[in-house]
Amino acid sequence: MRNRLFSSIFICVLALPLTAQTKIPRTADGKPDFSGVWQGGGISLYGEVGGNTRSTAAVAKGTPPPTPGAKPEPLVFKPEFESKLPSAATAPLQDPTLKCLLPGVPRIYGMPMPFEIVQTPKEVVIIFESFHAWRRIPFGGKHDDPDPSFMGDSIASWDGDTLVVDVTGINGKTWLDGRGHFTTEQTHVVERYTLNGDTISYQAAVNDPTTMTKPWSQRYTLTRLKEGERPLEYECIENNQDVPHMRSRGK
Amino acid sequence: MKRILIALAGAVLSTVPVLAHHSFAAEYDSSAPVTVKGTVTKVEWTNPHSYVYVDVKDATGNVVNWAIEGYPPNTLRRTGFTRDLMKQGDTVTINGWKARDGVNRMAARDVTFANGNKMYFGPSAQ
Repeated sequence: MRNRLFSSIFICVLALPLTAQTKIPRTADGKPDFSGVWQGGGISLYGEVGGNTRSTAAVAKGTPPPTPGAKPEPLVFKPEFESKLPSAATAPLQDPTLKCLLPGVPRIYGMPMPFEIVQTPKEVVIIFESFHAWRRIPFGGKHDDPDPSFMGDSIASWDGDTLVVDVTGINGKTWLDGRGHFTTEQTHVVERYTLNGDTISYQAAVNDPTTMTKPWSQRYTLTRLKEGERPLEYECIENNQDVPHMRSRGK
Repeated sequence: MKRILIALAGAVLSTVPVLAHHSFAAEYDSSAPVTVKGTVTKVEWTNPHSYVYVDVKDATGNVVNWAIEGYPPNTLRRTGFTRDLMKQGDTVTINGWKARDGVNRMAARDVTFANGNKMYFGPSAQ
C-alpha cells in the first residue's frame, strides 16, 4: 500500500514539470493560439539540405523540416465498395486532384504546401495555398445547411487545449486517399488539433456508415514555418498537362 | 540479409514521392534515370508544374526538343531558384527520370548551369 502511494506521488511529481515545460502561445482569453503559417504532411518543400540557397532556412529555428505524416492505418471499405475501386495503376488518372479539384478534409493536410491559420475568439480561418482552398470555422453554433461542398461545413469547439473541428456537408466528390476511397454526403470528419509549440499534432477521425465498417483515422504533424512565410497563389489549372500525359503512357 | 531487405523495402515505402498534384509513378519511371544536356528553348514558370524545354542532340546528331517537368513556381522560389535564373539560350545539364509514355519528356531533379552552379528543380523520385 505504502509502495503504491509512493509510486503515485512519484508519478505526479514527474508529470508536473512535463506539463509545465510545454509552453505554447496563448490568446488573451487563455486558449492555445494556432495563428501562424504551417506546413502540412507530404513531401517537404524545404528538405533540400545543402542544396538551393534558402532551403531549410524557411523553417522556423529549431524545427526540423516537415516529414511525411505517420503511416496511416489502412482504409478499407465494405466489400461491395472496395471491389469497385480503381486499381493502383489507374487510380492516379481518376484522382479528382489531378483535375485540380479541391482535395477536401482531411486530405488537404497531406498536400506539400503552406497554409495560414488566423484565429479569433469567434472563428478560425484557414487559408490554404493548395488549390485556393479556404475554411471559415466558427466556434459554437450549429452546422449550416448549405449545399454540400468539397471542403464541407465546419464548426469549432475546445476540448481542454485541443481544438476540435466537426465537419459535415461534404459533397462526395473528394477522395480520402490516393487509392480512390471516396467520400459521400454522409461522410463525417472530426478533426483534433493539438498545439505543441512549433508543431501541431493533427488527427482526423473519419466515419461513413455508407461505405465503412469502422471509423478510419488520419494523422499528420503540421510544422510552423518561419516568420514572413505566407501562402502564395497556386493556380493549378494554369498549365495542367498531366491528364493527357498520363493517358498517353504506353501508347 | 533478410533484415536488410526488409529495412530497404521499408525505406522505399516510406519515401514514395508525393507531389502536390499527381503521383510521380503514374507519369514517370523512377527506374529510368536520364541526363540531358543542351540549350534552353523555353521556360514555362507555371502551375501545377514548371517546364523547361531543351534542345538536345541525340546519338545520330539530330536535335530533339525535351519537355522537362519541375517544381511549381512557389516551391522553386522558396528553395532559391528564382525565375530569372534559367533563360532561353542557356546551356544546361539536367538529371531526372523518363516519362512512361516514351516521348522525349522527363521529370527533373536538378539542373547544372554552364558556370557549374547546380540547383534542385524537382523532387526526388526515391
